Amino acid sequence: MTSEAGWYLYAFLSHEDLPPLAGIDGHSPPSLIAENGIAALASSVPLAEFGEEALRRNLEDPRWLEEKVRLHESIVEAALAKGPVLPMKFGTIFLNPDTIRAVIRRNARRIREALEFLRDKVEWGVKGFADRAALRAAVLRSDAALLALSREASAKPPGQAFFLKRKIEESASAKSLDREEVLTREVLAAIQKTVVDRAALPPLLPEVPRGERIVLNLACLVRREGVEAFLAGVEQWNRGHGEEGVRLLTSGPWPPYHFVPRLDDEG
Amino acid sequence: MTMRDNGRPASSLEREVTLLETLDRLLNRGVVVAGDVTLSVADVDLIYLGLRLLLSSVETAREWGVRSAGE
Repeated sequence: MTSEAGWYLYAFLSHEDLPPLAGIDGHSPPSLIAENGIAALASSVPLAEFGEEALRRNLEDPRWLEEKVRLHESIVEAALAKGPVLPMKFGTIFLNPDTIRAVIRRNARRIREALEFLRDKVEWGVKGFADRAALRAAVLRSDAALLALSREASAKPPGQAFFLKRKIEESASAKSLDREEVLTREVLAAIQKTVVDRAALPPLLPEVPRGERIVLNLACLVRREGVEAFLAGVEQWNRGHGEEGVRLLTSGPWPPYHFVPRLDDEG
Repeated sequence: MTMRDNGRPASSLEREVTLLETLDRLLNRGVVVAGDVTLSVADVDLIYLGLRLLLSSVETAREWGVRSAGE
């Protein structure tokens, strides 16, 4: 049994609007710990739930994790709605608010510069899903060399036609993969103008059920005023490529998790 | 944070993908500072293991037409 408390840190802010939400423990309201003109958004958490050992144990419970991750995210999103934020990694907990002040003091210049850079910018996710059978069918429908081969096959006796058809199948597989690569490059070109910065992420899942595969997973930093153009670009790309079985899904606006600076580098 | 798929409502698979996306961001990215309690890489790996097991069991259950309690 312990009634000790720690401080769970959500984000650094340059504004002082408190999100009207309960903290990650479900009731303690978040507060601001201010230092050098920077505010740390934090709330009190019981160490019986968020202490080192308890946290490790709780992480093994997917339901606990899902609930806490969603709470963390909604608090940071509420802060993002009011101004720029530097979101923290999940599970950053301090025993004493003075330690948070010391972190700010050590990194004040970097935090301030990053908040200034991120002002009026948000992160969007772009994922490309490929339906491989549809993509292959589209290649077979439209590739001139493959169409010529299949015309040739239909004029041949069955024996020769069999080998030609096998050649067509093999070639269609290779060409589908090539096409997938061309399409992902085209996506990057299509959104280039509306994006400030981007980061490539590892594939989310190795294999998505029902024959779909994630062929693209990006985080994009977008100006708020450019979000509409960014989404319109993605939608236009989707309209142009629906028949090829590749579609883009966007998610956002996210806090800029992929565009935060490294802190404490210089010790 | 919302998901857009040409205005279509997100499927349950896509909602799971969104949860994974949230986890990927919160667990692997964001500002890293030396707190008194922080997650190590090993902790995060452990989480992914547990989560993949959960998601794959959800997917398996769905494929077998099993409904979860209360549905």
